[in-house]
Amino acid sequence: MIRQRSAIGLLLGPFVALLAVVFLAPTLYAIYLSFFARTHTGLGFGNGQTAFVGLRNYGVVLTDPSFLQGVGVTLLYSAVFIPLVIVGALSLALLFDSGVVRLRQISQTILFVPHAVPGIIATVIWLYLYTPGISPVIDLMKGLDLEVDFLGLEMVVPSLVNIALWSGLGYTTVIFFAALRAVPQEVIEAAAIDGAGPVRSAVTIKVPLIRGTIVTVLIFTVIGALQLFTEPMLLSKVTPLIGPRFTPNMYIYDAAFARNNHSLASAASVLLLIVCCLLSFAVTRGAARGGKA
Amino acid sequence: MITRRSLLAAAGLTLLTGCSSSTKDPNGPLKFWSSLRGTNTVVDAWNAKNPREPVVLETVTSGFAGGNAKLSNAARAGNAPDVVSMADADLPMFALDGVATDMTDLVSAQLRAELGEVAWSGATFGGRVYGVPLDLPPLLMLYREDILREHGVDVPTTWDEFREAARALKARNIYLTAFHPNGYNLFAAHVMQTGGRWFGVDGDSWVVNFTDAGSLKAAEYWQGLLDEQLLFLAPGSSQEWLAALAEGRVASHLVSTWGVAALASSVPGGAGKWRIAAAPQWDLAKPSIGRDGASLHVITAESVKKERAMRFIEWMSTSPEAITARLSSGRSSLLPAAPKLWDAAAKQFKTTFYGGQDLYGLAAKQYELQHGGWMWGPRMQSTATSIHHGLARIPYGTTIAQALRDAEAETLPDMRSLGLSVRRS
Repeated sequence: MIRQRSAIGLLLGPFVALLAVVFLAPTLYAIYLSFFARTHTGLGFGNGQTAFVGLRNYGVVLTDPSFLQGVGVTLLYSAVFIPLVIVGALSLALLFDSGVVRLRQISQTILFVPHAVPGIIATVIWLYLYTPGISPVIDLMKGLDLEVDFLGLEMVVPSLVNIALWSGLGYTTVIFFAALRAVPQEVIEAAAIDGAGPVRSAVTIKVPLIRGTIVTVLIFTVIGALQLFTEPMLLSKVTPLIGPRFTPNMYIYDAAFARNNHSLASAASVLLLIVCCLLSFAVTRGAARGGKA
Repeated sequence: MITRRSLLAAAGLTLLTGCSSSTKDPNGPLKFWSSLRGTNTVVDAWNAKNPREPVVLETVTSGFAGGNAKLSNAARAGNAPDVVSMADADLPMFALDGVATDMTDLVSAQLRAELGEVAWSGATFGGRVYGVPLDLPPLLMLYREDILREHGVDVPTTWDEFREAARALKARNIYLTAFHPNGYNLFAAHVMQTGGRWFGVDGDSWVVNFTDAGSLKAAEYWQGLLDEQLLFLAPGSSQEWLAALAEGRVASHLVSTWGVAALASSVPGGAGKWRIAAAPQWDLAKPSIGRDGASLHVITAESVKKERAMRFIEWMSTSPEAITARLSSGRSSLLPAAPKLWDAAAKQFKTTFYGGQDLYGLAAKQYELQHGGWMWGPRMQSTATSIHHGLARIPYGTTIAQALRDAEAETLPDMRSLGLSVRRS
């Protein structure tokens, strides 16, 4: 019994220690900072002090038009990106699993490779492809009489979604495919004997059986989408349509490092954390309820 | 012979001395951060004359380009220098954050008298002084005399004439001037001239309005020029714009006095072709002029050598030797806030780029037209970024007025989050 306990401690220890140092401590510190801020009265000269400011920073974040716009942009991005990546990856995984696709392993590898490219590098690659004057793609499309400004007003969000899809689709496909491989072969065979074609067995047998995986991937994708940062940060260097507060995460970065207001940044971070937790909870609950029905 | 070990030891030593901040040693040299052109020759001149009170200069990048962040971080870490040069727009932030010390009691009556009321207005908040003005530079118009003459265009003296001149030149494929989406300070100078003000004080409260009558007047005028495509739209300091200046596709440059020498070093090929004129007026009978950025010196709150620092700062602002040293670098064309230095400055300034024209005589007349009714906000870097972001969207249909409205809406939350009392007028 004691040995078992110490084994648990030993095995969980590193995880708990890391969790405490890199997650819990910073989170608690951020919560502290969001309530205790540098504050002034009147004009503010010569009377600055650090004091408890209650929910003031939260009120400011929630009434800041630039933050609310960032939330809007993220919602729009999520509404486009999440269905595309989930449905796309699931379809590809089902295709691979059904054996329709030849050279499965090579195709899978090709799909997966972009995931191995770090997000910054991926964005730089796409930046090159998006920039008029240097992009071979834009030149090629011009040859076909197609004029597209990838960094223009209507194309900014689609261009961001495209980068994220390119990086994320293969990875998600591989996760779904691994889950599909774990579906017992007898179940599929039984379905086939009962007369289910490949499409029907995919939709009514395989997908429900990997529902747990789909929910997990959905949670990660939602959280990832809410934390959109690297891609728009880099694109903001080349198009004025992406400002320094384009997404909530960029807002936080701007508040901390451009505006020097760490309390405001902390309040926005805590809000983002709460939203992420709530959404994860909602997705899990929704899935559980759906499972019962 | 330099061995690896001695190199390491030397590196370690410099690291150590670097850490033991000289600001904490009351007998150590004054640490001075500046991004102003020509400061190194000023410091050399001081050190030659005052070997017992040495100043160590570190040249830093200008405020928005990283200097502000560097100073904030250093102040937080407790190793800020004793003296810092800064733009007037950045002073409210550093005064508010307690980085720049309240130096009211260090300012002598003589210094106060020598710099004039308008200059002090940009350094005084709530009746306390937080910086010593170095210059007070009115907006000027630098123009290509040869191009204007060739096309029979007179130097505009009013904004109406300016528009006509822009139309005449545009018909010949030349832009009279450029519009810089990253130039909030130039636009602010136009607003100052109309009498508009973005920030003000009412009792113990900030009053904010980026779209008052004056601001909208300036916004509508420049928007009109943009709509007629009379302006070369490109960021200030960009290669695109400098190339257009060098090739004579842009015929003038609106900038404060300090920009006179800067232009000469940016487009050296234009030597002899450029001239200086007063910036256009709205009404010649009621002249007024704005400025796109003045410089000041502040003492940090943590400095333990405040009196020595003040001697050095006072010398920079009021001594003919200091302005002579600064201009001897050939890279500066400051208009000192202290009028008594103008003769020394005029003597030192090399006028070859401008065909021998007397810059200081002209600037001195404009100096008188400046007013002290302008105040910068407590977070100008952030406000400016908002304005720049809006102006950069002009090709996508944003207007100058819209950029101002958005910037104001993004500035108010910043101020509230600091606990400041703020209302919109």
